[in-house]
Amino acid sequence: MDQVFTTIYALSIRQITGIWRMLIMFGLLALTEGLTIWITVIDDATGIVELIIPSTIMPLICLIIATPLFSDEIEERTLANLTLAPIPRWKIVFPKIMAAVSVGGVPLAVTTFAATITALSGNGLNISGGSILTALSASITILIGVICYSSLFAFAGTLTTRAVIIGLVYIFAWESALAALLPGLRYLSISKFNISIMRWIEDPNLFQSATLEVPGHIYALIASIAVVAITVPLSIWRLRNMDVQ
Amino acid sequence: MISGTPKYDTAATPEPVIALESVSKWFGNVVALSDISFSIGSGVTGLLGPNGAGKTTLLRLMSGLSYPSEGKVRLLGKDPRQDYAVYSRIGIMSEHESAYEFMTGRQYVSLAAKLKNVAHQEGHIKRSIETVDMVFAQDRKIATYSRGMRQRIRLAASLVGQPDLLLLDEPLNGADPKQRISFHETIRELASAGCSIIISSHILEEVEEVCDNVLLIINGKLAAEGDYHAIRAALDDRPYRIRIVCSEPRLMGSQLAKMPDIDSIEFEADEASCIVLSSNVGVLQSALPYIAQNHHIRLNRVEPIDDSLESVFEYLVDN
Repeated sequence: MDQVFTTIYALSIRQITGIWRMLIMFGLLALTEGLTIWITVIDDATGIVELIIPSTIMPLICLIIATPLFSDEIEERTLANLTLAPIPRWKIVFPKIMAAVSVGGVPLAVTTFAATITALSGNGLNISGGSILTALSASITILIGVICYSSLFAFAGTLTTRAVIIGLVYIFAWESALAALLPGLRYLSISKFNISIMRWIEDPNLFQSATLEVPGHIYALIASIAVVAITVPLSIWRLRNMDVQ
Repeated sequence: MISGTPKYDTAATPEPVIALESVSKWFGNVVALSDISFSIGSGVTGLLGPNGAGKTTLLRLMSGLSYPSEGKVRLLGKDPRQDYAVYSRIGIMSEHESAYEFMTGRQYVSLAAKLKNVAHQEGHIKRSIETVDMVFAQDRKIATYSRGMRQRIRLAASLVGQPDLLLLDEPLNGADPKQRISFHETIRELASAGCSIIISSHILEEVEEVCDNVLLIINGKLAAEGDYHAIRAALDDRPYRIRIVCSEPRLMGSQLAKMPDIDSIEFEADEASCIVLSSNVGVLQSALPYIAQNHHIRLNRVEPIDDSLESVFEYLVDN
């Protein structure tokens, strides 16, 4: 692979794997799996896989991993080290987003896999080839969501050093509170896109707990691709046009 | 010792190393730079001006860190905001940019080499670190460095790959006298190897040590440009205002008035001092003790009043 690409990828991995971020991320993941085990013992826990992970755990983890990709560089005045190098801006943006997807996406996918297996076992299903396939599909869906959220939050990080606060408002106000009041917002919600895709690629009979209305899966797929296709070029454009401190 | 030569000898081409054409930069209602045009050839050029004059803004525009609100900037004939490849020939050390604290000095220089895709990186990294005399601390985390050491390791990172052009913003901030001497030697060696260098500073003497040409920036405008020695000569002709605090200021004033190089004498209200305007401070300095001794005047204090860099620049602009 290209030396510049791997260098920025490795640098970004180092930047976003600070002790506090890792503690928060693995704390959230441990909480997710613990909650799944606990609820499975007393009830149906598939809602955790279908609702809690895509709408809360995944965006929160992407928020703490992806916003600092650029906002920390801007705040700590290190971005010039990259922008004063003879490299096109996409070669800065792509490896950074890939680093966020690697750091946040892989543990999330593993946790989603484990939580799905746990939840499905609790429904009276043994760990079979079918449930493993379901868990694998859920994990892949979560990875799609991680790519969307990472691209969005990385772009937010190019706009402001307060991107975490804006991201928290987006997750809890836009995606949760407002979406509950205004059903039409499901067409502008990454987590709803993700839930829709998850319902589409899974056996619908396995996930019966959720009654949440989501957009159709074709819309959700196109919208997810659109989020990445819009926010990544916007990050590149922003890097080209910003005054770097 | 600098070994090797830049890939592109800027001294051998008629193309300006840096060219600015009617460049202005404003932030909201504040005009930071106004209609600046110049072109710089090879050699060492000092970007000189008092604090807040716009030097850093100008250097940021030159380096492509910032967009001009109006006008064009060309580095080695290219627009740095469009043609990123030009950065492979440039080393930049901006005033506010930081190094990655979690890296060692060597890792930081190595990062610069990798991002520039420099061939034979190990040799370049070693040479750059040696040039700034940081071999002893290269394996320590940058977080543990003093301000002067940080400046030096950042200079090493900008030197990696033997650039044709170096842009250095206040490179001697935090440096001790020994480091200053070492830095001046490094700059001279790089210049003699064909590297064009722009150094910004608010200290006249700092620029005097190494620069052939200077650009004077005052209040966001280009006040003067040209050969350093010509500008220095203009400075030497500048009349100085000197306050003389003594026991008999009027007697002192009457004696000084007989000297040919005294332009004017004012007496202050406290009747304890006089202010002398002289275009030949050397003669005044020699004469003062004799006048004091011959007329039994006790000299309490002799001080220049307006020797600040701002007043020096104002003088140059007026003339």
